[in-house]
Amino acid sequence: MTAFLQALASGLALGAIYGLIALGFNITYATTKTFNFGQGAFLVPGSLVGVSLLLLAAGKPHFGNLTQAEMTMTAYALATIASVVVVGAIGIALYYCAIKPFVGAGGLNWVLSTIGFGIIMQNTALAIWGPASIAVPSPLGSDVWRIAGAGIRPQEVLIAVVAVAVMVGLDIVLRKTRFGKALRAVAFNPQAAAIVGINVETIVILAFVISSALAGLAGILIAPITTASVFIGLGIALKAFSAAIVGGLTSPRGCMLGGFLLGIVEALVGLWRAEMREITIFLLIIIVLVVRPSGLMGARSVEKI
Amino acid sequence: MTMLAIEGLKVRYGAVEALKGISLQVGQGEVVTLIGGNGAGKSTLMRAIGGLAKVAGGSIRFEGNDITGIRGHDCVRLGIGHSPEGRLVFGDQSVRDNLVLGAYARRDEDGIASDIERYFGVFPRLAERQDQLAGTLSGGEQQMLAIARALMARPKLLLLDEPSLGLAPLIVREVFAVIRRLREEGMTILLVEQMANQALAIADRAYVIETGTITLEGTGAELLRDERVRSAYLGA
Amino acid sequence: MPALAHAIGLAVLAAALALVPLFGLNDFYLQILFTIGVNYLAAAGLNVLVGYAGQKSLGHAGLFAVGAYTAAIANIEWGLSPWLSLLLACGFGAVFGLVIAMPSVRVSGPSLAMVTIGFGIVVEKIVTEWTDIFKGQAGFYGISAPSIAGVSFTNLHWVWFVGALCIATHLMLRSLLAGRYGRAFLGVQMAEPAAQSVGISVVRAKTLAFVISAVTCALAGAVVAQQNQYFNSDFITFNLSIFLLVVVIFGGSGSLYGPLFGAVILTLLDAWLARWPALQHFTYGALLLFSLYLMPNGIAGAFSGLAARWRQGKVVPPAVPGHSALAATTAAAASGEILVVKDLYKAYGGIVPVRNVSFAITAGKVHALIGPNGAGKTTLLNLLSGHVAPGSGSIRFEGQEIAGWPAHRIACLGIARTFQNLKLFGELSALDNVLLGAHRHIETGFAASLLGLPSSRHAEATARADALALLGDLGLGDRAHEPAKSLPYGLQRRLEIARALASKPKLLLLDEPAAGLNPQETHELGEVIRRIQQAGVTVLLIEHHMDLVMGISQHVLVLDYGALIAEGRPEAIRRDPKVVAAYLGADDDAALTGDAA
Repeated sequence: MTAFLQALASGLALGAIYGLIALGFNITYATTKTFNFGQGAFLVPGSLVGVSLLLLAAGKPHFGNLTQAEMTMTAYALATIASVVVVGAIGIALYYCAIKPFVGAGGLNWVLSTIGFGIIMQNTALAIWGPASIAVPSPLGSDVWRIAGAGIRPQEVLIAVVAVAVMVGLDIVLRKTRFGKALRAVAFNPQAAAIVGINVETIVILAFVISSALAGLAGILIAPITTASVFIGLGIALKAFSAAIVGGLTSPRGCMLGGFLLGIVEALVGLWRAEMREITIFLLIIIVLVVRPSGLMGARSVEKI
Repeated sequence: MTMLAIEGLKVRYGAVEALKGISLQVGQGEVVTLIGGNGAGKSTLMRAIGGLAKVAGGSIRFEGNDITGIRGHDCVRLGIGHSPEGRLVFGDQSVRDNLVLGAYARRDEDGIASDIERYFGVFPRLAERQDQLAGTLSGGEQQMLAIARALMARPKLLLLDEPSLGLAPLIVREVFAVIRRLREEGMTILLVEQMANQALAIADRAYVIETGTITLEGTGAELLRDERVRSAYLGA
Repeated sequence: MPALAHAIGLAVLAAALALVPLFGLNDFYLQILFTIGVNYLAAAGLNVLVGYAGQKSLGHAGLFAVGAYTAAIANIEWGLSPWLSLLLACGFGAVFGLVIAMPSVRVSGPSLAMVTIGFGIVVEKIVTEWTDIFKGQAGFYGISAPSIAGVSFTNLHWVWFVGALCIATHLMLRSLLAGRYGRAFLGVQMAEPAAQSVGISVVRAKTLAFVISAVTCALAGAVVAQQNQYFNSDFITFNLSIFLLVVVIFGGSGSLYGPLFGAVILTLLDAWLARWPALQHFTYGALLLFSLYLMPNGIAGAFSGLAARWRQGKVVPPAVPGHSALAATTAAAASGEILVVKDLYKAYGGIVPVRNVSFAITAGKVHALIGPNGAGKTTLLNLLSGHVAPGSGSIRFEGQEIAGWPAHRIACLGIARTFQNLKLFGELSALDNVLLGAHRHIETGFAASLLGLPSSRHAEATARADALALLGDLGLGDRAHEPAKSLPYGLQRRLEIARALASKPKLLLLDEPAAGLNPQETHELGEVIRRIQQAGVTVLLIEHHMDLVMGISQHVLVLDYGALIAEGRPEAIRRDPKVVAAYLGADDDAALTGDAA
């Protein structure tokens, strides 16, 4: 039972990470019918930029290990902001290099170009930080919290709290603010959006900034669990794709739901047999795609002839 | 005073020349109608004026300024409101939010709020359904919403593209009543229609467009009596 | 490429391979030659999937693994001979190709990418983590290489063997892709609804392409395992999937020689960059990012400009004069009611474009379906052709209930159509478009087509002659070899009719055939439709040019607001007050207001 609770907790934390990234896919997919297949590489600067800045601030080289004392809540918060800003800015470059030339042209060239952009980013990161990983202490310390007998890592709680807060915040922004309404208008029909005076390209670029920033946030949140390294991103981002497909790429809430669902399934299956995790998730995707091709909460689309 | 002046306008879609050199004028306070059968190029012309279709030749002048090739979202700021073919209301947002978005180019919160109330007065059915998603409205209600949304930008010129499309005759009559009211309030309107009889009855002047070319022009009353209008639709 | 140049090229290649020992290459260079061959094998099949059928796969490392592990396990665990293991690897490849195709062909866009990535990742995880079966990173040692007459393969033999496999693969794919299968793949990629309308099953075509790509990829994997005599899970990575795709795309997807260019250049680049691993991946990233918009058709695309110039000098065989191909387009004309529609209904959410429509189409006559914009005409046509499934109601064609059938099956019964917004196979020549129209009548088996047997060549030649005659008859004879998209608009419209006629339909559905035509072209279209009728084909057309409708049709159906409001002879329809009101609006409104001053 305690093992189950422990798995559930880490599944929820992991699911929150998947959900954050998947939400980013939803935002760009809704506006452009594209998203960043190389998103995994965006988690890398997300975790490393912030950590390196803290190292530099502590008077150390940019690649090294942080002590628990150097990782205060304030330091972590500042590192998080730095990561989100830097990765968000990279999102603009992504839009101009990999999305703009192919958007609206149909086909899947954007899949390949975004993967290419991701590979370039990953190898740039490799040149800056090297292949080794940095252990990142959690600002809440490494002592396990005992809840109902189960040992839960404080960082997992932090991840879940921050991620849920961001998701709820974004949900409100998308529903209530002028920007959110404009973004949904572009998603619904770009021509109609232009008719009322919305600059569609500006909205699309902002969508990519948000999507990238979410990946950066996911990177710094997960770093204390997985350590920070150039290679952490791919696996996580692929799970986030799966989450978006399962939950429904066209639905923000579906993407979040898919994230949590996948995180929990992964953790629970891992409890049983670790090597069955990927197979289970893949089978889940196949089943969902066969039964509901647009995902659990996605809108069905009608193709016009 | 001429508000909109179009000279030799050409638009092509790939290999098709959809507009083959169209010239027309709309004066301040006028209601001008453009009628013609399916595929004649009516909506293409509207899209070109609204900055949504790429212009291949000719010019569009609005209040004396050349606006040829201007982008769609800038057109609204100049004062051109557009109720597009097929209505294109934001189906996944509420009726009220559709009106809020209609005023996207404006920043005067108070003015926006009072305009929303004003159009709820003009279109009581929209007021009743203000919290409903626009996609759940009937075709006629969506058309009213599309017109109200275009008016929310406080346009000087209103482009009305096929407001009767796919609507039952009774609803068409309601839509035309609204257009008549706007006309009485002094709004300048360029109306594209398939329903020639109603459209001509309401128009100061009218043009007949066939396969991308203007073939007839005159006052609404003149064209209403012209046998050639009928043959443009049903064949000679 | 013309037959002579092709034969010379192959002979030169074979001679160069035979002469490899004379160059005194060391093992390093032999290994590079071998790797080029392996990469070509994998990419050649993947090109069929990516370049021809238009399905991107990001998981072919998984199929490479299927081949390699089959070769290893069959030999080591089951004690089968290397040759048999190689065959088995191809077989397993085909089976797994089928497995991955099943979900893949049913989805598109990002979901397709996800499914293929997922497949690759799952295979990677399985071979890494199920160590009791797949040995994980430790891997299989001592996989035997094939031998001939007791002599085990040396590195030189491997180069020869792989070279022979490459040539055989190339010849088979060349034969296959030049015929009806290659055209079907391209048709599915360029315009799925149009491919369905000529009787091609999209699902079957995509599945076949998946299987072909799986077989060559598995073969490549098996050959690598055997040559290496060792194989472990480190070979199988997402990067391998990406690399294979880059070989195809950089080389030129959709070109027979693209994978060759890609394999040669990228293998050499890979070997040269191996000293700087970081730079190596960086280069792939840059190639993926930039080659797509700098060279959308890859290296092969850059070369094809030259080839096109050469082709311009070629003499186009003139159409046979005096031979009316149009008359031969149809089977014996039927009589009576060929199509009976009853209570047909279709709704999209709250919008009901077709509400309980009933009518009958009489064999041998031209019928027109008219109505104001948004009346539901195109939806009705899509229901008849099977491109949209009806909500309820019945459609009987020659007595057979076809409501709800998929489009390609309806097409095979003899209902052909054109599309309002042209759906030609744009990159293909006018001739190939018409040949695709005749797809269901070219009876060539897969094996015959793959091996280029005389029967398949004969069927192909006959179909070409028929297609050229049909093009000539419709005044397109001298444009037969031009890409469809480069034809003037009026001729594109006519080509779509030619394609539909090539399927020898009993009923032809035309969706706004005169849209965008000038008066002269519209007049010619009327003549063409008359001749089609004389050839015994029943016609149903949607049209707005009333002069055309009134001039050529014997029966007019009027749809308004999703319902049939009138039908009858054209003269009667023109005077019908309901029709006039539907088009011009109610007269009383004008009278009521009367303020048009």
